[in-house]
Amino acid sequence: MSKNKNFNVIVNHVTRVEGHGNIRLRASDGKVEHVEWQVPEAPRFFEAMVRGRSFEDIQTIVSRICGICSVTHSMAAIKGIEDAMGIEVSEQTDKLRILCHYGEQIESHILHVGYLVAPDLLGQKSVIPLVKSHPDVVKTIIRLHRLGNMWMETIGGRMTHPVTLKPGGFTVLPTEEKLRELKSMIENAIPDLKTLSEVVFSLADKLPDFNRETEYIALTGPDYYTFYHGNIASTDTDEKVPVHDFERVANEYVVPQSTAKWSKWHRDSYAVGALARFNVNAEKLMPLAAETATKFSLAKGTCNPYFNNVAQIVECVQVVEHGLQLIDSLLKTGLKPEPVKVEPKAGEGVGCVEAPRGILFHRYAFDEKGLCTKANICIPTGQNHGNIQKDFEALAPQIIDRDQDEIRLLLEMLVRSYDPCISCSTHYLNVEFV
Amino acid sequence: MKPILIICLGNPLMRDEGIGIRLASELSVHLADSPDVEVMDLGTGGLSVIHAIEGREKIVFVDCAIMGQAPGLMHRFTPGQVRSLKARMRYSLHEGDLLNTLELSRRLGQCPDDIVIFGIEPKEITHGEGLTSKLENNIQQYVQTILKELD
Repeated sequence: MSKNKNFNVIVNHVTRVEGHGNIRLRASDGKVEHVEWQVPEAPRFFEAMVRGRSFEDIQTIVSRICGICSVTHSMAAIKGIEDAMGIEVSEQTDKLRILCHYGEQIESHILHVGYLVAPDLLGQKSVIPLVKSHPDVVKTIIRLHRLGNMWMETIGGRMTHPVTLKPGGFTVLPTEEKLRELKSMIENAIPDLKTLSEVVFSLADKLPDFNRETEYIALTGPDYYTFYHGNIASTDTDEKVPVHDFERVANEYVVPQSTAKWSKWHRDSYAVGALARFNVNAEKLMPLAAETATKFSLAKGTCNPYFNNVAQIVECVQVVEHGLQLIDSLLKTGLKPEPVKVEPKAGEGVGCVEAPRGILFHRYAFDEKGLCTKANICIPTGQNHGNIQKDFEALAPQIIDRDQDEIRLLLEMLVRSYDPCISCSTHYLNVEFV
Repeated sequence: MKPILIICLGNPLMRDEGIGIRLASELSVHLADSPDVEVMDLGTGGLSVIHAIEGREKIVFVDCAIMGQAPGLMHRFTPGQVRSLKARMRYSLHEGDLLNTLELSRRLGQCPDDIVIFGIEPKEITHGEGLTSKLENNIQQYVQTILKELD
């Protein structure tokens, strides 16, 4: 219980370039007077950078928007370009891209659960002290993280910022031997995934019990748990919106507390990410992933944002299961060289994929020489900001009588559960000599 | 696996923050036939450093670094010679800090002993492609200094 009934909880996150992601809470007479999630600019400046550039350069540029979602941004751009120029890709390309994308999903989810959430649940400030207190947990996380890296390198040619993906197909295909090695790596990682799942399960009662009715939005596919194909679905409606009409869903608007645009559809805000995908597509999970969800009592309709982390574990299992199936299918038919030659064409198109942290939209227009004349990138973090604010407004009154440090931690954990993309584009060192 | 790895970090869409990536392409040309040295552009995939360095004998990092020095100055140091001034809120995975990542690797017993960092003081970190002339004019000098480290 907070002794002082009038207090402020302030968490500042200031970077030199990208802006800020601050938490502000003001309590008066033991009641929440004001709570606010102040957020940074979305990457609108990248849109300006691609205008005037050739369609062949776009995916390389946008892959640098984010070191964690570089495959996702590349694929959204490539799909947008292919849509604009009427390019069809082969079944082999389709499968390889989905496979590559799974490498990024597992890498990002493992990093998020392992490096950011596990320390909260184990009562530590970061992953570093966990090396001493929980060495086996950290080593499991590191091995799974390595799997994600190797997975992306096998298909995308690099651990991050892929170089083999291009409009129409691939510049270089993985060898069948490399695919077999990847298969073996994935199979060997299944026990680690089960261990991590057990660890999170044993700590799941530490996830705050907070529920708020929320609209969840994700891609939904024809017959599998999709991150790549499909239309836009919401838990509030049966309507399926083609990705070409994504602006009708995102409804971006401006709020005073943020330089980033926020989004809403049927309610004041909506959520995207692993829990959104689960709430939209849970019945399409593969057996082991479905079993994992059941173990955690994660069911469709869950609206506790902290359970996004549990949904991430379920998705790790899903991509492992489906990834193995895709590799088997590719090896069965054998990989065939598919030279790609794309003739530029004027047009406009949309590329949509699920980033680890939610649905991502890219829209581009090109002139007849294939030069980009228009770009619009709508990122998942931007779509989640309004929902974080609404969660704050519902959560703060429920916890306002607790210790100020606990209030701060619960609000921070809430932000972390969404894994927002803040200060993603720079990694410079900032040091003093000792 | 080659015993010496040069890891270049940064973002070429953020002006001088991209100095590491620019030097990756220059160094790759110089070291294309080297049997011992590999050059890696790791962009902003910071935590992947843990896996890249494991099992190597020597690691050379090339990165943009705010050190309070004159813009364009390149400084050679080891992780033990500096302290990070980066504020970390742990909101997201996107707050990369190389020194923190190396500390994690060290505690896991996976970090090579021989680590050198070449930090280059930026003039401008802002949205845009291309380095400022302050750094652009020094490219060959940076390359030669880094190559000498390999002698």
